[in-house]
Amino acid sequence: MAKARAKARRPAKAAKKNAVKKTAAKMSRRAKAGKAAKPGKSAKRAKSAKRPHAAKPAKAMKRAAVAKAAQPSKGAAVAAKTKPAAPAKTPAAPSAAASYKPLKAPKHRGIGLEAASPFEMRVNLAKDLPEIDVQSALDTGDMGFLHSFTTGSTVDGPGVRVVAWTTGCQWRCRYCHNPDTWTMRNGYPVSVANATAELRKYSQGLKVMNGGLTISGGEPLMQDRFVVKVFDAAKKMGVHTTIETNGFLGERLTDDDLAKIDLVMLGIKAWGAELHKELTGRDNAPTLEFGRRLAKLKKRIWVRFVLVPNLTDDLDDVGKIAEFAASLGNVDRVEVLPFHQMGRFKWRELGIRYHLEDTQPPSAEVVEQACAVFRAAGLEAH
Amino acid sequence: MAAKPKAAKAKARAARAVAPVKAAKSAPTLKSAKPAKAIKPVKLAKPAKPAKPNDSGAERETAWDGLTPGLWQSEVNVRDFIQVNYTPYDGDESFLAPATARTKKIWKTLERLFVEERKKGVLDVSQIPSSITAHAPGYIDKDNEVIVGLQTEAPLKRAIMPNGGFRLVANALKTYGYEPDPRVVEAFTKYRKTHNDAVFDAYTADVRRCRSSHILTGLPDAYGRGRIIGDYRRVALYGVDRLIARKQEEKAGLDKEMSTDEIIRDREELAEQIRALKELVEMAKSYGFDVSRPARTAKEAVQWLYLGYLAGVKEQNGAAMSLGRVSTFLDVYFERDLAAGTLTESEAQEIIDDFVIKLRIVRFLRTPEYDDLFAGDPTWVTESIGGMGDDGRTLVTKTSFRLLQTLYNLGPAPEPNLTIWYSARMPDGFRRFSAKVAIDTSSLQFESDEIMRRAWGDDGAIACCVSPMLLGKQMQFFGARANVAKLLLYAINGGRDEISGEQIAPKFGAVEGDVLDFDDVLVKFERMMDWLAGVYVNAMNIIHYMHDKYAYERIEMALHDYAPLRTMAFGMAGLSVIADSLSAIKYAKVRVVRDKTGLVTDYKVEGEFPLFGNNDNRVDQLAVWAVSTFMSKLRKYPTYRHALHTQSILTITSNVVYGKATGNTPDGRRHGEPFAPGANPMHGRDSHGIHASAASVAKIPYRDAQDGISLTTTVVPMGLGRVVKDRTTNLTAMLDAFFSATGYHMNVNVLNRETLLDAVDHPEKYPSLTIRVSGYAVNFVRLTREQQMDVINRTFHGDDGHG
Repeated sequence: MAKARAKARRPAKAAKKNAVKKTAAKMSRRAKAGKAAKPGKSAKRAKSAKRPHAAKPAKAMKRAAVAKAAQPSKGAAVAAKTKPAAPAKTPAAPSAAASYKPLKAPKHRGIGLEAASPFEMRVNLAKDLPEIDVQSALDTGDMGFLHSFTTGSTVDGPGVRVVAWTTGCQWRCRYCHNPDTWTMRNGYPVSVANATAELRKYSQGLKVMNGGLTISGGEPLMQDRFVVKVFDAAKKMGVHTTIETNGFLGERLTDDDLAKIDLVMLGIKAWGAELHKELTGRDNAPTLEFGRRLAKLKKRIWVRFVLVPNLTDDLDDVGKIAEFAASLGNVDRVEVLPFHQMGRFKWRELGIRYHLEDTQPPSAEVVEQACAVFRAAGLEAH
Repeated sequence: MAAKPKAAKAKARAARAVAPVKAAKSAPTLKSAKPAKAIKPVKLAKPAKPAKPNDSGAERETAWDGLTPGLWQSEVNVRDFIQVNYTPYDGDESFLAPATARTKKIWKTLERLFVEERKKGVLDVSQIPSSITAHAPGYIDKDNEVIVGLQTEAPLKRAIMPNGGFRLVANALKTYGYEPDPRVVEAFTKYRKTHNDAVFDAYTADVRRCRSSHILTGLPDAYGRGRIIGDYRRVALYGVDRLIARKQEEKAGLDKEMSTDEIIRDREELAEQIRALKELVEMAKSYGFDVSRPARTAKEAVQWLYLGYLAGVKEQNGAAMSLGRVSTFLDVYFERDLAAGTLTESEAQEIIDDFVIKLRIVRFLRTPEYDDLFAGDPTWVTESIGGMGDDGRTLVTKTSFRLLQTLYNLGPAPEPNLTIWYSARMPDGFRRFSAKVAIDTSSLQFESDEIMRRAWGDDGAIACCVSPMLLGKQMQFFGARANVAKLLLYAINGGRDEISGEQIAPKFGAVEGDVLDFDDVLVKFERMMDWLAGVYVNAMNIIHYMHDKYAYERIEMALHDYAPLRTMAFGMAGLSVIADSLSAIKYAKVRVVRDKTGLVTDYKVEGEFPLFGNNDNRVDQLAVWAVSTFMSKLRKYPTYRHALHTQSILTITSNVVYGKATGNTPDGRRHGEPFAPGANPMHGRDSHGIHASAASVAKIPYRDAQDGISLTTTVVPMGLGRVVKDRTTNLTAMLDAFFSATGYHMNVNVLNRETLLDAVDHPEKYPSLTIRVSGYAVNFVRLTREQQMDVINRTFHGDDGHG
C-alpha cells in the first residue's frame, strides 16, 4: 500500500520536470511576443497581496466623476472621505480580454481517482509501474489506465454523461487534440473496483438525465478487457454505456462484450486509403469492417468525423463516408466535429512535430456543407 | 402620521368594515377596551356592528363573484383561496403574447433614464424622509401606464429613509453630491434617534472588535434588515378594511393578557400596523384607487397587490424587499377575466409587463460600503414561481409563464429576482420553458421545491436569495454572514488576527510546532466557533431589538398574522476555503510560516489532498462538519424574541470583501483572493464537471442550513450540448437530477467567458447583460472591475473544449 502511495507521489517529480519545461516554453513564447520575463513567485505573492486594491482607483474615480456631475447648487465638496482615493488619473486600463489570465488551480490535486480537465497535460503517471503489472492489467482487465474523467458532459454521447478517457492509442492522427493520451503509461492506474465505486456515485443522476457512461481516449480497445469490465459494472447499475472508438481493434470484442455496450461512437476519419494513412498512420479497412459487423448485429451507432480544413474537407471523400454510413442502416446520428487548436500546446510540450500548426478551425459554413453531405445521404447530422 | 383629521372618515369606514363571522363573539371584549380608547386620539368603532348589506356586502359579492367558496372567506387564509380556486397549467409557452407597443414605449423611456442614472450613480434624490404617505403620486407616463405607483414623485428618484441610520443617509447623499437638508439633519440628530445610533449604543466591545477585524461584517446595523415579505396578496383578496378589522381583533385579543414587556411591545406593534394599513389606503387614494375593498378584476388585483408592496418600499429600505409568491395567486383573477371575456391574453401580459416594469425600478439610496457588500444596486424583489402543492397538483399556472415572458418582452434584467420553485414532478412544459429562459437570459435561479415544501409548507416564498418562509406567517431576522474561514486562522493563531496581529478572540492557545495536526486544529477551531457564535448571536440580538424599536416594518408586518414565526438568519462565508484547508491539514502536510512575533502568516503544503467540488466524501464531509458544527454552536445561545436559529451558506458579493480581509489560508489561497461565492467550490478546483461539483454542494444538510445554501453555476452554451435544440433538454435534465437528489439551489448562467471579458472592456455594448452571482442576479456592467474579474475567474463548466 505504501509503495503504491509512494508511486502515486512520484508523478509530482515528473510533473515538476514538465512544469520546468512548461515555464521554459512559456518564457520563450513571451520573449517572442516581446514581453518581459514573468516575475518569480515572491514577486507574484507581493503582487497578489496588492491585487485587492487594484480596483480602488477605478472606483474612487467613478465616485469622483459622479460627484462632479451632480448639481452644483447642492454645493459642498464631494466626500470622497469614505476611502482615501488613489491618484485619480485616467487609468490606461489594459483590455480585459487581452490581459486575462486564468487563475491557476493549486498544484495540489486530489489523490486516488483524481482527474482534472482532460485538457490538462498529463504524462508519466504510470511511468514506474513494473511491466508485468501493465501486462497483467491488459490481460485481466482488473486495472486500466486513465487520462482523466469528467461528469456533466453533453458532448460525448446522448444525454448528460460521465466520460472517462483511457490512455494508449496506436493511431497517430495529425489533428489529435490529446496526444498525451497516445502513451498508455501516461495514464493513471485505476482499478475496476475504484472506477465502479466512482461511477456508482453518479448512477442515479445519470438515469434521471437520460445519460450514462462514455469511455473514450486514447483508444479504449487497447484496454479492451478493462473497458468491458467497467461496462459490465455499469450495466449492472442500470447505466447506459457508450464507447468512442476507431474500431481498429474491434475484433477484440466478442458479441457478448458488445452486448454490454448500448451505443458505439465510431470514428471514421477519412475514406480514401492514402488520405487515411497520411492522416492517421493506419488503414481504415478494420474500421469499416467493424461498422459492418455492428450493422449486422443491429447495434445502434453514431459516426464521428473530424473536419480539418485542407486535410479532410474534400466533399467527395466526405460523400463516400456518408454513402457508407447510410448503407449500414444502424447510424442514428453523424457528428461533424470541427477541428480546433486547443491541443496545440500539448504537441509542443511533448516535442512531437505538429503538422497542423497554422491550421484554422473550419468556418460554420464549411461545417454546414459537410453536414449537408451527410444529410443528403439520408442521415441526421450535426 | 396622526390621523386626527381623518377620525371621522376612519370611524365611517370602520363602521362599514366587513365584519368577520366571529364578530359577535368578540364584541364583549371590545366593550372592555376602555384603556385603548384613552390612549388613542382616534376612536375605533366596534367591528361588531353588522355591515350594511348593500354596502361592503354587495361590494364583496361582486369582488368574489365566480370564486369557489372556502375557508378563505371566513378567515384571512390566502393559501386556502389559492388551493380551491387556482387552475394548474401543464401546457407549454405557445399561448404567450409579445410586448405591446405601449409597453415597449414605456420601457424605452426608462432605458434612457437608466443610462443617465448609470452615469451619475443616482438619477435624483428626494430629501423628504420617506414614508407611506410622504410623497405625492408619481408617474412615468401618466396616460399610458396600466399599473401605477412610484416610490417618490418621479421614476428612479430615490428617497431617504433615515430611521435606519442618519449618518449613512448623509454619507450616501454626499457621495452623490447632495447636501443634506438641514431640517432633516436636525430632526434626525436632535429629535429622532435612529436604529444605527441605538445599535452602537448597545454593542459590546467584543462585537466592535469583530466588526473592525472583519470577522463579522455586513451586519444590518447600518442598513435596513429586509428579509420580511408582507403577504401583499391579502390586500387584493380582502381589501384593507378587512385586514384592519382583523388586526384590531388581534390587538383586542391581547387585552386579557398580562402586560409584560413582550405583550406591551406586541400591542404597540399592532397599533402601528393598523396605522400603516390606513396610510396604505390613503396612499392608494392619491393614485385614485380605493383599496379598502377587495379587488374585483385582474387589473385591480395586480394594482392592489402592487400598492401593498409599494407601501413597503416607501416605508423601508431593507436589503431584500421581496415580493412573495404572487403569480399563482394572481392567475385566479386572470383566469376569471379571460373566461368572462373581459380580458385578452395580450392585455393580461401587458398588465404583468407593466407590473414588472414597476418592480424593476425600485431604488434605494445606499452608501459605497453597502455597494461593496451588495454590488449592482440589488433590491431582491424575489418572486417565487411554480412548485408543487401538498396535494400533489402543480402550482404552475399560466401566470407563471407570463412572469418569465417579461424577460423576453422587456429584455433580461436582474429584478424582479425570478425564482423557480423547482420539482422534477412539475409539468414538462414549464420545466422546459424555464430552462430555455435560463439559457437565453441567465436571469433565473432554481430552488428545491421538495426540500422547502417539506420544511415549511406549500405557500412559501423566498426572501432575498435562498431563504424560504411561509407567507404571512413567518419573518426573518437577517444576519448577513460570519467570516468562518478567517476564524480557522484565528484558531491556529490563538485568537490573534493574522493580518494585524491584534488579539481579537480569547487566548485559546495557538498552534505550537511546525506542522498542523488535524485533530488539534479541529479542537481549536471548534472552540473558536463557540466563541464567535456567542458574539454573533449577541450582535444579532442587539441589532434586531433596536431595529424593531427604531425602524419597525409597520406595513410589512401588518400583512402578517399576529406573532409570526421568527427565524434568526445567521450565515457563514468561506465554506470551500475551510473544507480545502482542513483537507490539506488532514491528508497532506501543512507547515506553518511564522513572522517574528510567532504569528502564523503563511502555509507550505507538501503532498496532495482532495478538493471540495469533486464529489469526494473525504473532503465533502469536512464541509458538512463545518456547517453542522457552527450551527450547533449558534443554537446554544438564546435569541431575541425566541427566534429560531437558522443559517445560510450565501455570500452575495461579500466573498470579495471577506477575501480581502483574510490572510493566506492552508489550502493555498493567497491573502486578498476572493472566497468562492456561497457554497461554491473554490474557482477552478472543481475539475470533475458540473455533476460532481453540484453533488458536493448537495451534501450540505439543509437541516443545519435552513436559511439556504447557494450554488452558482456557469456553463458555456456548448457545455449544454452541441446541438442547440438539445440544450434545453439537457439543462432540464440536469435540474431534474440535481433537485431529485438533495440539491437545494442553483443560479444558472449560460455564458461564454469571452462575452464577459468583452463586457468588461465595452460595457456600452452590454447594457442589459444579466448574470447570476451568489443568490441574485446583477447587471454585469454595474459591478466593479474587481467583482467582474471575480466572476470571470470562476469555473465555466464545459469550457475545456474536449468536445
